[in-house]
Amino acid sequence: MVRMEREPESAPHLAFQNGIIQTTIDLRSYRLTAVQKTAYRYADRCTAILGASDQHLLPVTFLFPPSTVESAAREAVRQFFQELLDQELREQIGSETHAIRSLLLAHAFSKTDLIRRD
Amino acid sequence: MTTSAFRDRSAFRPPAGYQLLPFRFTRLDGTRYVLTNEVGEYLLLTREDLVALVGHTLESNGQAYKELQSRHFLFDGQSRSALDLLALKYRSRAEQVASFTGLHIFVVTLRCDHSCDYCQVSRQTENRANFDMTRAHADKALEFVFRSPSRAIKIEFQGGEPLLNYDLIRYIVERALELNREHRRQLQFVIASNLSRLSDEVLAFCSAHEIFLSTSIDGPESLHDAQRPLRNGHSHRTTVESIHRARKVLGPDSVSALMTTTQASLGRVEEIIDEYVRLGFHGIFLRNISPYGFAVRKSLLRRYNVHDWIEFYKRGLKHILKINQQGHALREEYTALLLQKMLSPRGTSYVDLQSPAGIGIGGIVYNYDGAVYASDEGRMLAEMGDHSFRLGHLDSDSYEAVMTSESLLLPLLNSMPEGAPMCSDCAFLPYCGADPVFHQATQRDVVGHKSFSAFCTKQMAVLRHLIGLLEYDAEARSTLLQWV
Amino acid sequence: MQIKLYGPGLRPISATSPGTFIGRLTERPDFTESGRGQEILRIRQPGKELPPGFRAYLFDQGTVETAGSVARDCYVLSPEWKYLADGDVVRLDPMRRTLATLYRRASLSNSFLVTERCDNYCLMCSQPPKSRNDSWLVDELLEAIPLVSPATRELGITGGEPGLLGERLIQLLATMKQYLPQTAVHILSNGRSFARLEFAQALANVRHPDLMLGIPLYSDLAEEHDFVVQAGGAFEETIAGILNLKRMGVRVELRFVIHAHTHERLPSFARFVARNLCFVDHVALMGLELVGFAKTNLNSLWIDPLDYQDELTSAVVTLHRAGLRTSIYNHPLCVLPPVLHPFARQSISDWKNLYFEECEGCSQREACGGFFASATVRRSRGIRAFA
Repeated sequence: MVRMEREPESAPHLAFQNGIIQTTIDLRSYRLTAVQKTAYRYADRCTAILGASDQHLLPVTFLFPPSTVESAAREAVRQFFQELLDQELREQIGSETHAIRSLLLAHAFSKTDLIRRD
Repeated sequence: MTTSAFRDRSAFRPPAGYQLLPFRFTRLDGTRYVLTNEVGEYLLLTREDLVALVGHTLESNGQAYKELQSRHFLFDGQSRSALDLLALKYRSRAEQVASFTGLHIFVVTLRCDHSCDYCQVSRQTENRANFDMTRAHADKALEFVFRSPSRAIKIEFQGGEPLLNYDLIRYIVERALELNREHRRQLQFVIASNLSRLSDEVLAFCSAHEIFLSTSIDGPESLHDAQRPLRNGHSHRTTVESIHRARKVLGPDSVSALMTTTQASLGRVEEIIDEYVRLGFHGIFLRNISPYGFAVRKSLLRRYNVHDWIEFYKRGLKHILKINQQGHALREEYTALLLQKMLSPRGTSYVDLQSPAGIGIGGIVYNYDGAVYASDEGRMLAEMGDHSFRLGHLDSDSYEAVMTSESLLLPLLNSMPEGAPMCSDCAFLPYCGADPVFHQATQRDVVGHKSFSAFCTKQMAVLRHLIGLLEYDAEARSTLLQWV
Repeated sequence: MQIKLYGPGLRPISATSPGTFIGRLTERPDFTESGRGQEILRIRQPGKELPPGFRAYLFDQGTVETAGSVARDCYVLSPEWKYLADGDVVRLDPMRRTLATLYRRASLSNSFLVTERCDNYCLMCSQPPKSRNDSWLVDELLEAIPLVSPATRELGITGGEPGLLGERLIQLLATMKQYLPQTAVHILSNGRSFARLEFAQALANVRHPDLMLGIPLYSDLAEEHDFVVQAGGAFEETIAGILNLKRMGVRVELRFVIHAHTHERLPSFARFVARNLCFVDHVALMGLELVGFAKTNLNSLWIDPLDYQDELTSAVVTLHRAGLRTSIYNHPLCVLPPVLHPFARQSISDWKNLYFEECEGCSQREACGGFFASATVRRSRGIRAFA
């Protein structure tokens, strides 16, 4: 599955109301695990509540601490999506290198590999 | 080529197409990412190159590709050497763990003559003799010490003020040397002392057994004395006098000093560093305040923000680099440790920055009351009422029981960055370590949520800063490389 | 000094053996009679009866008119062979009238050529490969080794590629261990044949008391190394060979020749070695010797050492900091920045070593290794005497 680089949801479409921004993430573009990991990472800036996905659409509600101004909230969401792209890349790297990583570790600890220094 | 028998470069180009080797990446700054492989070799890439790399479209002729290939971030189909070499490197780094517990801390007394504001140990005043370690416990602890397979053993005396129980120190050193005739390890001794009690007799003993001294200098006199009140005396003056006397008897590099950062220190980093230079030190450790002991009780932690400390560190490092460039060799020890992790194939053996954590398996603490703790911070946490890192007691538990107790194994296992959320993705993982005690103290969980972790914030800020200096500041780079 | 190790200048003055033969020189006419079978008597003074029983007799010019009654293998040496002395081992070819010096007891740099075949084809090769069967070289060496003085400090084994000898290399090393147990052996090899673990193991199993393999490695990138040695797959095999040898406990030295096609990646190479091969026993960064292919390809290979000082310094610092024993070979001190002087070694074999006019009165001459005889072909603009 090739993940293409996607533009983050552009800010003007996201309404900021009562300390909340709501949006939808298309799971054909981003893995669910990537969204979850990004949400975890951003826990200090906002709480991202992931709703039940309908086919490929995942509703996400961003909750901000009470004192947050709109510009800061939008910036946090913008960064969230930047990070989401990065997380997608990580998932791709992880799945591609999973097997060779196991091989590497097995090789590293096999007995035949001792290098003797005089 | 003048002879047609020689083929040019194009004849030796590797086949098209490459495979990725495992790596992690993290944003460094606005334009670049830092990538690290499993053994801590690093590279900076633009986002464009990173995306091309992962998309298998990176130009094999380009500079980025070559650097990635050389550092084993990718390999082409024919390469067997990449895997062989990477496996060897990984093993060398991992092997360090097997040398096992090298640092053994003996808390010989809790009595102290200072009453430092930030003291991380619940100390009692000088007159209470039931806060001294007994010979019986010292003997049992020494048995534990030599159960460790480590070739190099460092015995460090702490307190309170350990010299208040000098007789026991004397006993332990002599007994350890006697036992070592059979075990033949490389034994080293250190006394962590405020040096108010450094008599000639103590100095003679240190000289006879090559014992190093480690003391506290928080900064110039005004700052130091304000934070470290000494009953009936001036702490700074006394400590400095003792340092000079110690150097005369034991040699110029026999005393090292640590500072503790407080709110009052944060604005005065240059003065503190200048004081170290004035006192002839060539090493300084810019420590952060830790969340244990009196610091928490007196709410110093709340008034102290990790971002303030990061500024303090950056300013301090800048000042230190300038001092080096002006001719006085001064190494910042924490920076040197991180640089070693970044640039040396073997990493370091510093117990507080390891994966798995250094608790128990890197260093261990025998407390004045016979209890055994996984680390010094673990002991401090116990003074605050949380005994998570108490591994057992010398009177009731064998070495095996202590070293395989759940209170040791579970935090070791669970806190490993390789398995922790966020850490497992982080490019700085090879340069970082687990700090289960810190996270237990601040979040009541040995793993902790790293987005809320002052440890993580600090580590990432310092590492980003160092990579930035190495990449973009040639003068800083040349000084920093000398510290490795 | 420069001396000829092979060439004409052997004039027979008696009947001769039909083919080539080797022998050890002695200047002692009273050499034990029973031991004279492989000894060649060296005669520097005229007159006297010739003692019988020696394998051959070598006369300096002007010491003899005729051979007299001892009828076999008497030769007059032309003057360039005057240096031959007691203990040296030589090969005489009476038909071609040539001499070859296989071993000089007084020299610190004796090297045995074991084959001219090679599976690399380096751009700067000083001993261009030949593909013919030359196994007689090893046959001859096996005969020569017992004649070499056991007090010899070190012997080199070179080629071509000694690894191509296979089992015979093992045999050669074992023979050296047997006859010369106190002599260190330094084998120059591309390491590729040791990619087979069994071969590395066989070498290690000889348990030679003082063995080191000098293995060239020219880059951190496979394609760069392969280009310099003109063989695809060479880097992979060389690395595998190095790892196998170290696994078997054999000492390994890495050799990097600095020229126009390698100097740019010298710092990267150093970083690569420091991270990946930090268990090697020595790293030698070497100047070009302008003979063989190096001379043929001179225009594309030449770079003045003054123009790679930064790269060389960076590499040495990287390797040294990593705890690797590091040396600079084949560079005179005047073309190296002072910070690198402690790493420069006097590495040029005596028989091809010289100094230039500029070196007259140089205060560093004693410490400096000087030049290759071939350096007259092209010289650095930096050559000058130190005050």
